[in-house]
Amino acid sequence: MSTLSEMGKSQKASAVLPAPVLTPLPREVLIQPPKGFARLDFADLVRHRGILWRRSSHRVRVQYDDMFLGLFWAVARPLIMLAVLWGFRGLAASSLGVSIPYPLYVYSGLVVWFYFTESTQAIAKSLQKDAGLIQKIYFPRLISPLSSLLAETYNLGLAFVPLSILMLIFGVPPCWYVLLLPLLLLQIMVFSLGLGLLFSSLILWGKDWERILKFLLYVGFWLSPVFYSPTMIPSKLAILYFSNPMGGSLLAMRAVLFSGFEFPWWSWLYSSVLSIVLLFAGLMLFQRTEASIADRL
Amino acid sequence: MTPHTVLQSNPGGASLSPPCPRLLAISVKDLWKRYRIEKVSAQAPHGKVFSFLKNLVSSNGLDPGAQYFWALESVNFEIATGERVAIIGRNGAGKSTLLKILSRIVPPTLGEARIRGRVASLLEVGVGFDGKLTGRENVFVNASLHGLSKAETAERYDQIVEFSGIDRKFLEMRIKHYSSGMRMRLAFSVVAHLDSDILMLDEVLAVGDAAFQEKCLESVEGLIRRKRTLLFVSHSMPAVTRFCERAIWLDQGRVVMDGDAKQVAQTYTSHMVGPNSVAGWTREQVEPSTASLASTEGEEPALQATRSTVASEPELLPDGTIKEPPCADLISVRLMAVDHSPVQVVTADQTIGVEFIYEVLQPGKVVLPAAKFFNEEGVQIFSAVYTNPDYMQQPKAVGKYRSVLWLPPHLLNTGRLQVGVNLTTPTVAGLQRHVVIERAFSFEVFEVPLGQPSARGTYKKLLGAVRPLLEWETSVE
Repeated sequence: MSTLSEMGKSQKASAVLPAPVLTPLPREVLIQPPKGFARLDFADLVRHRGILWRRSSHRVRVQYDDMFLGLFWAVARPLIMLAVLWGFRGLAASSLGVSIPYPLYVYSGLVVWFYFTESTQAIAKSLQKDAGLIQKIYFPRLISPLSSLLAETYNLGLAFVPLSILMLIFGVPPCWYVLLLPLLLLQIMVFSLGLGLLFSSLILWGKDWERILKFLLYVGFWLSPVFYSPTMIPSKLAILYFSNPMGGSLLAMRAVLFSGFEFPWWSWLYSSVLSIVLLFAGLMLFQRTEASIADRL
Repeated sequence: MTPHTVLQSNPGGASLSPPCPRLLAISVKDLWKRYRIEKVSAQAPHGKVFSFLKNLVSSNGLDPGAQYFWALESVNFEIATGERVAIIGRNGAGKSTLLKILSRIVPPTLGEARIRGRVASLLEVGVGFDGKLTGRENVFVNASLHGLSKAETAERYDQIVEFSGIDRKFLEMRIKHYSSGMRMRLAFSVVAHLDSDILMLDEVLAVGDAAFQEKCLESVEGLIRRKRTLLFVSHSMPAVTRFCERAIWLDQGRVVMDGDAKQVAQTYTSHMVGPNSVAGWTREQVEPSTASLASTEGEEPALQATRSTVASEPELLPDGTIKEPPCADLISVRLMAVDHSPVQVVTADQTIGVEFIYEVLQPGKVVLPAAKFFNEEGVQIFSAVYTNPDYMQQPKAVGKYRSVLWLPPHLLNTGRLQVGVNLTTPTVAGLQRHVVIERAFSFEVFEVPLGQPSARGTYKKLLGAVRPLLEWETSVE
């Protein structure tokens, strides 16, 4: 940067604009028609990481714009749901068969579930949201969904504040498993990104997919151990329940947060494998549509 | 001219290709772009399902409703580092598509393009601006979108603000409260401060008020001075001739002409004006004899006696007076360059001629051509009457004549000019007017290319009807 300022001084009189930074050999970019399932250009993504951080913080910044209770709204939804479900605590606690207070069980489930659904939907719609940019400026298109995911992750961080308070109130300390929390979050992020990318590409083909995703997530809520425990599942629905990858994630999350929960190794492994497969599928489809996104929007 | 024949305007291309091989900034090889025209059907939901099912049953896998069109067809060109190239053409000619492909926003269908260097492409001013963010935040967001790091942006933030001319107190305000002009200023300032090797502009300078437009143009000049490669889509031929040394004319997705900006702009403009692409006026051709004459126009004064028998018969008018037979008639007037080629668009530093072709029908008359020049406001700037003394006294023989009025370079100001012409005979009683055409034709005067001497000096624009390039002398007293 020192060369820049020096050159700037010498040219100050004549040029309005800053002096150029001389690059000895400029990078060459080859523009070609998209070729099938080409490799994702991760180097390009890394080169544009500045945009990723900016977009993410931008999304966070405008999310609660013009709201006096900005921070409150970030955590309001799970808290309100919690208040509603509080009424059923007597009903649930008897058959829940868990060692922690019902509010903690439900709130932790709701936080994770909302994180998953919100980020999946945000990712799926991210291209539409950034349409104006995508049609006018080049940047790796993956930045759009990734920044949506990061912004939602920030919200999750906020939602953990009331959770910690609840844990203090009910006197439920975390055990050493809590060190696994980042890994669990990563798994949910991967799952969310995979599913979201898949749908973000599909939505470009037809808006129907937006409805389908909403429907899937709605069904998923009832199939996930958010406000009930797996022991309450009727055996008829067991297959349906165990095929839901969020089940393992939700139970693992409780096991990590609260002591006295068994870590569901098998179902979490299933969730992880499925998440990775889904991410690859999502990336492939996204890559396939990436080049022509601007034409389709 | 058919639009699909590529004209290489400069034979040999000597003036364009520099003596030593320069590094290529952009090379485009056989680029094609196809778009699908989608059938837009505003059907009710059930109707859509119905037609979808019908398609499933009837079609052979191809969408029967799909239609394609080629926005670009085999486009080829190379741009050297530091070259300033304009892309011109009608709406829908493929200019923006080309720029979008080169900015990596849409992919080509076939072919390839190589770009060497950092690209700043400005397809629209103010992309990525968010009304919810303050001016300051938007500068950072926008700069990052164009690939500038936070530190780099912070370093030139003051310059950006200064250039935009926006009061600092507004910068902590959300830009939704800005006027659209203020937004534009801020947005362009960001782009003007990017370190790019290649700048691509798509008609962006056509927005904003005149003062800011001029400022944008100035900053483009600044970029040019720093030897940046410029790719510039524009409809404004004055801007094209001012900034670019080369122009590529696209029509229906093909390169029609590629060469010297002035020549391409002139050819393009005259092509766009219509079939009578010559700035000029031609007499209605009523008789076959005169028609054949008109076709031989131009080369040398053809002294042929024509129409004499027809014209010399006096005609009885309804009011009983006898109509004087016409003494002279104008066949055509046109604007031409030094090499006698027809032109419609000229630059201010060009010598131009107004050529009169006329007939003298009665012997023994002194017939003199004259021209008047009007500017856009309709003000008569000056007149040019015949001044050669030897010719003024000499009665002309019957025949066809050709006179050329030469206008020196650096006489006219930029803009559109209208020309009126007449043929007169000076008599004792006054002027005898044979032909008077108040507005015979019009033509356009463009700005002198950057780097050429211009009466404009360092000024943006000079007011005044004429714009002579005058001598100055300064000495120390």
